[in-house]
Amino acid sequence: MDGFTRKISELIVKTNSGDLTAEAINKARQLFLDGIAVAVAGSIKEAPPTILANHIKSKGSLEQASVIGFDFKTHAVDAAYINGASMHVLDYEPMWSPANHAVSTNLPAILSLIETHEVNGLEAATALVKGTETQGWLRQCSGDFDAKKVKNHPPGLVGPISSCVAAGHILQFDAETQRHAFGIAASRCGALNANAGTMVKMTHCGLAVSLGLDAALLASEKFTANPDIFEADNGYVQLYMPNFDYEKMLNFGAPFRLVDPGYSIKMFPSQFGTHFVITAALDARKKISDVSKIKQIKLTTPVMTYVDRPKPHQGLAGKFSFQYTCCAALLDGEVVIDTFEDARRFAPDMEAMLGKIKVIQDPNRPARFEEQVVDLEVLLEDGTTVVARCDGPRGSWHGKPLEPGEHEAKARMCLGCRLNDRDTDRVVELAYNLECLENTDLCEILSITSKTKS
Amino acid sequence: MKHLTKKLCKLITSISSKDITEASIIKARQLLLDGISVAVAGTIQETPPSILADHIRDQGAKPLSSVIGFGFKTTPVNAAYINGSSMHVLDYEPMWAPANHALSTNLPTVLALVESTNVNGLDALTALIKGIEIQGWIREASRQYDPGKLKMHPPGLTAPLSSAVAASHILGLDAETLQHAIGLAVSRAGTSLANVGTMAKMTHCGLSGAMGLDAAQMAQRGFTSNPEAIEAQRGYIDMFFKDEFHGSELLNFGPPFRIVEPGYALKMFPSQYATHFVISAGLTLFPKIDDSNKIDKVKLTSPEMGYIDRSHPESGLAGKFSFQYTCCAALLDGVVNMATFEDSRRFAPDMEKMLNKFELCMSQTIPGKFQDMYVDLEVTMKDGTKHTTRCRGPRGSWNGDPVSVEEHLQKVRSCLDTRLNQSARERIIELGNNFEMLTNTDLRELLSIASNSSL
Repeated sequence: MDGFTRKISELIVKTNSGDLTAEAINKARQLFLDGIAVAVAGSIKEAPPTILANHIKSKGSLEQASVIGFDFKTHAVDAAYINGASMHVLDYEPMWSPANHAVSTNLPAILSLIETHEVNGLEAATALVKGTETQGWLRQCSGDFDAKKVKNHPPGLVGPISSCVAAGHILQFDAETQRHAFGIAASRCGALNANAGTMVKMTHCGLAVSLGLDAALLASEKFTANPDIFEADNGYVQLYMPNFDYEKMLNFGAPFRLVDPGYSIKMFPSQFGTHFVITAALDARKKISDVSKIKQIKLTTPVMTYVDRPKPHQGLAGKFSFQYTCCAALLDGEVVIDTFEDARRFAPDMEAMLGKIKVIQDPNRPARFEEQVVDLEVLLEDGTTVVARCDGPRGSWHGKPLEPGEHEAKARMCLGCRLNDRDTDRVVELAYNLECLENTDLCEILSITSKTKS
Repeated sequence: MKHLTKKLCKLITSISSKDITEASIIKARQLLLDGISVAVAGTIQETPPSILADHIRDQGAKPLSSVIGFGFKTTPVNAAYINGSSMHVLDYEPMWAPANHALSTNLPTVLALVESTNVNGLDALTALIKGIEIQGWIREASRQYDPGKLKMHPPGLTAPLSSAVAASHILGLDAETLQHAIGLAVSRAGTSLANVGTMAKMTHCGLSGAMGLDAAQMAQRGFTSNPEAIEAQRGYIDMFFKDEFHGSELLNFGPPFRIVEPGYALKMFPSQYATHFVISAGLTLFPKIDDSNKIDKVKLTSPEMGYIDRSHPESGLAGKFSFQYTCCAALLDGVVNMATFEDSRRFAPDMEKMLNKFELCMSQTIPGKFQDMYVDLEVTMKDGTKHTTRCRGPRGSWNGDPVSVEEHLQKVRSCLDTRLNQSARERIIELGNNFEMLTNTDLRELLSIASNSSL
């Protein structure tokens, strides 16, 4: 489509806080709290964010932007890198439709600019809405919904593009600058699915959000690129999304994708496809009096080879294993952050249970989260069979909604990994008033959550 | 191929300075001088490196590694980012076979580690050769020789891996750590060809080199990845080279080294490489044309290369990627140098007039691979006389006349002269010509001179 990058840029810069509906604000508050809380937990519950934080800290850059959980400040771009990685490492942030990680790839860019710009809560919320909106439409218009079709890990593909929109809102871009920021960001996209289940996966989100922020900052300094990067020959669309629906993308704007189709709050810290398996297994477990009497487990799923890991090489890789998450749910009756520690992964009862499970990946089942179904069949030693099916975990598009207070409990549990009750309360209180916050309030959130312990 | 990443990393880490041949040392010396001098010139002849340097300087990061031409130091990763961009911005660094920019994506990584390690000249040289070596074999194994087959700009696709390899030599990573560094690097590969002719293109080289260095440093800290990232499902090959990839060829890594065979083409003009064919043709006809005002029509027949078909480039910088502009400049000026690509030349009235006389015919029957391509130029004068010529390879290229050592040094001097005085310039040449003998202190001196904003 001729002139598309210009059109979408004009539409984006025109969208402002006045366009936000009450519902969009409500969702933004929840996302803001969820993102910060899982980042606090991620920074302490897993090892890789610490390696990354030390790596960046050794650069000794200007102390501008707070790093969540590590008690130092660094340059805005680097802070977004670490915060995005910490926010993603647990795989505990909301899931989007089409599948994506849109919080850890947008929110850190916004947080990074709070301490150097006079941005208030309403503008921060608007930036978050615009960033997630950009990602949602890019994924929607790509037509790549099925996990089998997705070549690049989506956050690495759409994160730099959306992050420069979120940052661009705070930097008050005109359409021309937004076009160049897109051009710079588009040459920084990519991320391999082969790295799912390794430390690198978290850097897909962290790096994507930081590179998009960097592109925005460069564009604001008059660095230029191809201003028609989406539609250009050899450009973003041709390279990454050959079936792109340009017209549809111009739907960017209210009621906003964070409201419709919305997102799914994650209640388990693992890859989203495994939530179906976990839900079925927790259901089945209620019907099994003694899990040591399990003889055989048969799990039927869509084809999702990257979560077919019969013996994950570490706890972290267990987040991407149908087998491991299923066994953990059956054995423990819960799946929590500690489920993915190496100690649990290599415990004798887990090793034994992993030997009993068989996964059948059925090519006839849709591999799209909105349509996914898994069937679980547990055969006991006495010959009885317990079956369970899940067509949507709680909090997802087809699942039961979360109980009131349930999300807040998740947020408090995550914040509590590092913070005392008083600090936790304060972060929750501030986040619930996101759109009314002053810049000093936002700075207070960062100052609390950057503590290593309180 | 099963265990390709593992086998490759074992092979790479087993190659040391002892394997370096005399022929490759001679080539590496020339590359060091070429890279540093075009970077010095790039920092002052074009504006984008200054924007980037200011952007990075604002980070206020630790002053560890020298930034060429800008008189400050920053972290190694940041320094590699800027130096790689400056080394590429003029499009004046050597061309490789298959087509690539292997110098601006590897040398900056090597230079970035000089001041934070004790690496000497011989190991710096070895690291450079190893980085270039892996890039060459990846490009070869992909069989993407023809630009028409390329989806991504090759430096962005290959440099994160190669720069990690170059850095790993200096950092002394073992094979397993290198596997993880490569796994980190592959998730940072990319770049869009649509940014050719814009400021963003130079960052393809700078950023991807910097990313590879960052990957190596992170792996050194114990950050892990998919250790089979090259051959894994949804890995590097699956993602970028699905149509064709001859993985076992990567295991040809080693002597006599690609830097010697098939070697590289020195660039004598600061522009995209295919335009060198056109420029050479234009320069051949220049002496035959007594008055350029008498030219009626210029017709150029070239391979299919859509991205350098720019009849009226929007800036001098974009002129580097224009068959039309480079040809007109050669016909009008009898010389193509850095000044050719300034906006003042681009928008001069005689240039505008000449561009309007130009006709480009891109023929699908002419191969687009640099080693096989040719161009035909036909200039018709107002009196009906025609001048024609064909260029099968510019000087310094695989099929062209060789460029002498002295001639290359003239290029090096002209680039260094843009910022440095004669004694500084000659000291760099003296050091560069003894690359393999240099101590770490000598390498630091080289960087300290090259980083001066003026001398």
